[in-house]
Amino acid sequence: MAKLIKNGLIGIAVATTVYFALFFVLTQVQLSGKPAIYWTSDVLFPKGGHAYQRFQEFDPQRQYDALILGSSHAYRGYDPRIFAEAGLEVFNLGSSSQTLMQTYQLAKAYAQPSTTSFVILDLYEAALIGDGMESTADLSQNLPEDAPANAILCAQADIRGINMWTLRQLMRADSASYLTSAYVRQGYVTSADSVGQRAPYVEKASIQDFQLHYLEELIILLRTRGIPLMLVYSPLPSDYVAATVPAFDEAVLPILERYDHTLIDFRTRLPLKDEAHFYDAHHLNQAGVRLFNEALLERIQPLVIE
Amino acid sequence: MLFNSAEFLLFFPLVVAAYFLLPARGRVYWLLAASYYFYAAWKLEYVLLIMGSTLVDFWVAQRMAATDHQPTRRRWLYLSLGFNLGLLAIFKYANFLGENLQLVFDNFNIMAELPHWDFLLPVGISFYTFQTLAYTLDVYHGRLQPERSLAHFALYVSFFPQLVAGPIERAGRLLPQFRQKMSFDAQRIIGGVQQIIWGLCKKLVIADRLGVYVGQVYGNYEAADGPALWLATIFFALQIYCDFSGYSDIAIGAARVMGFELMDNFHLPYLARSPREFWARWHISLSTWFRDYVYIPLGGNRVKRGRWLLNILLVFALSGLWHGANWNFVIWGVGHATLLIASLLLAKTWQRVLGQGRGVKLLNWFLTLLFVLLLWVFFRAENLSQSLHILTELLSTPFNWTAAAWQNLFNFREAGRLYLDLFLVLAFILADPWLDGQVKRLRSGESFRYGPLIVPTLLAIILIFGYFGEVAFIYFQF
Repeated sequence: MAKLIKNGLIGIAVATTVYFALFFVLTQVQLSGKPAIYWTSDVLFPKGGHAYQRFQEFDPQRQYDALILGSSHAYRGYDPRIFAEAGLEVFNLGSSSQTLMQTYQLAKAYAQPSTTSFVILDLYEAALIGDGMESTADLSQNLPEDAPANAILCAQADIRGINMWTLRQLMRADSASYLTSAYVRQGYVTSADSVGQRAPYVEKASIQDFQLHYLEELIILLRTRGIPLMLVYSPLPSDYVAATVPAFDEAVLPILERYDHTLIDFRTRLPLKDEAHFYDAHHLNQAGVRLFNEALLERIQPLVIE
Repeated sequence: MLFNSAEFLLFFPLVVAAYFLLPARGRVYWLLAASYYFYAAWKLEYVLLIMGSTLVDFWVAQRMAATDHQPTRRRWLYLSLGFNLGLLAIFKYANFLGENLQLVFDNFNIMAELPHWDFLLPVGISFYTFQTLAYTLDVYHGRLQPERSLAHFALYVSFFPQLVAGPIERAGRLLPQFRQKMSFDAQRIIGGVQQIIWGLCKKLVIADRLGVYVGQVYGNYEAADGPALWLATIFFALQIYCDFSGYSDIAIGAARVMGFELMDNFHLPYLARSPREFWARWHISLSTWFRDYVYIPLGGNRVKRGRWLLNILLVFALSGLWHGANWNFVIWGVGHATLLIASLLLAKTWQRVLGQGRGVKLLNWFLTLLFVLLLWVFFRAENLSQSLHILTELLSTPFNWTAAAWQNLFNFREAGRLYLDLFLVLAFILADPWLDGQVKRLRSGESFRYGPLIVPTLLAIILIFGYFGEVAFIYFQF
């Protein structure tokens, strides 16, 4: 047994050394226009883009009326400028393919009673399906603070998280590799104000239990902190509504009922047109965002005052 | 439960730890429970099939041993063959048979609609049915005494390291090992772990990575030019080798950790210089199974030449059919039979005309590899028309290295990823012969040379380059 333990420890030490050395070399060697390390995996993202810009701008110490969380439906669907017109200062912490797991970790890190009056979570079917790997890859490279990045990597519980962590450490001193002009400010990203090619709804994976678990955890966390949580389902094109509503309702509504929580449901509430108010298969364009945000503000203003 | 899954990473150490902590007489029961759990992880109902197969063959062997009356023994044998092949027929071949019969009916305007069954093919059924069949046949021919312990026999059928994709073990080798008290031998355990890590490296770093390009090209074969199809076919040859030999290494290594020796299944098959040598190096446990239980009983080569060639053809056609209920597999098998027959018939003339020099050996190697590669097209393609389309492209445009064809290579994978894949392939081709030699050393109780450096390096490579999408092993479908 002693021999086994000795060999195991030596093996771990050598493997760690070789791993870091090889990883470092791959970050230095250029292959097809970027460091070779990015070609090793689909889930190693370079630092940059609107997630980088968003978290660089975000000041966790600053007082916000609301933090907005969620996936691309959040950062492309809730315009802080429109909220400002109603006298609310909000910051949009939505990020690409953010699932409930990442939402929970971000809320845990940034939604503090001293700085956040309330939280808006854009609930969308895609936030509940899949393993959340894409969002973990994105946030693990772009979050400025180690604690939430590490918490997300740990919660992901995937061996690929080790590479993401190492990449973060080795690229720590580097600046963003790219920035996007679509980024406005306060986390918001504009959508081209024209109707693009409409793509039909493509059936995705089913809703994951562990993501539903994080929804419950989020509700509990914010209740414990005394921060009101508004769960909003933003508008969807008609074919998406037909395809996603039953599964979503079946999985989510019982949880909300259990916690006596309501869903502010805009899936079908507004008279939006698929071609006029969406810029792709399911993202609102700026005209759609304005209609939706104004309707949402009308709905939540009494709650905010309360 | 896949070997390359987080569940197995937890399952295996737990099973091993408990195995060595338990008293000797409890170990078989523990391994049996672990094996059934391992199998049930795919689908609980599957366990009933394996239990049924176990009970029937255990009982049949007892009945055969209880009588010297040959016709009675033969009847018991037929019962076992009927049950096991019946299982295969129902779960694997029923729809294939039905679809082909339907075609015949339609051609002759016979108004009959044959049913289509939605059976989910039980994972590993072809492997464990062949293993139990080997046992029954060995008992029938008097080469083996029937096993008296149902638990030992059940473990022989379901032993988890080799349950779902082999190596297809013989009862005469494995059953006696279950009666030995395996000691906790650190050297042996280290060797087993080393082989597991090498197997994982082949699977995760080579097979699953290359599988992405292969899938893209074969999935869009009409958009692929000759060079892209050649590259995808070469990648597939490496993918299936690394996938299956990787699985075998993990299986053999896992068994070795617990003290059991499983048979070798691969030995650098793409270095073979003749079809015969290829089959002595590829899926050895299946090749020898067909040799011992089909080819030799048919008369082998101790019959007239025509019959001998027919025996080869039949064995390879059956081997193809064993892989899957699809004409593509049958053609793949028949193709290999034709290749083997041609090489056997032409061997002397070939040698007389060309000699035995180094250049001829190289030519032999090249031709063997070329034909094996071309036959893999039938194995990978979805159907016959796809296979023929790809083969036509491969043979008509092998040197079509125009700028457009070059660009076409990168239509199926980003350039950076493809370059990296090619680099890893090159590294693997250089490392495999040496590492295969290291694996052979493990049988004699040694461990990898430079193991403390090589194995951690392999681990680091797995971590960085591994494709962690939990892709199932190709041979599980058989």
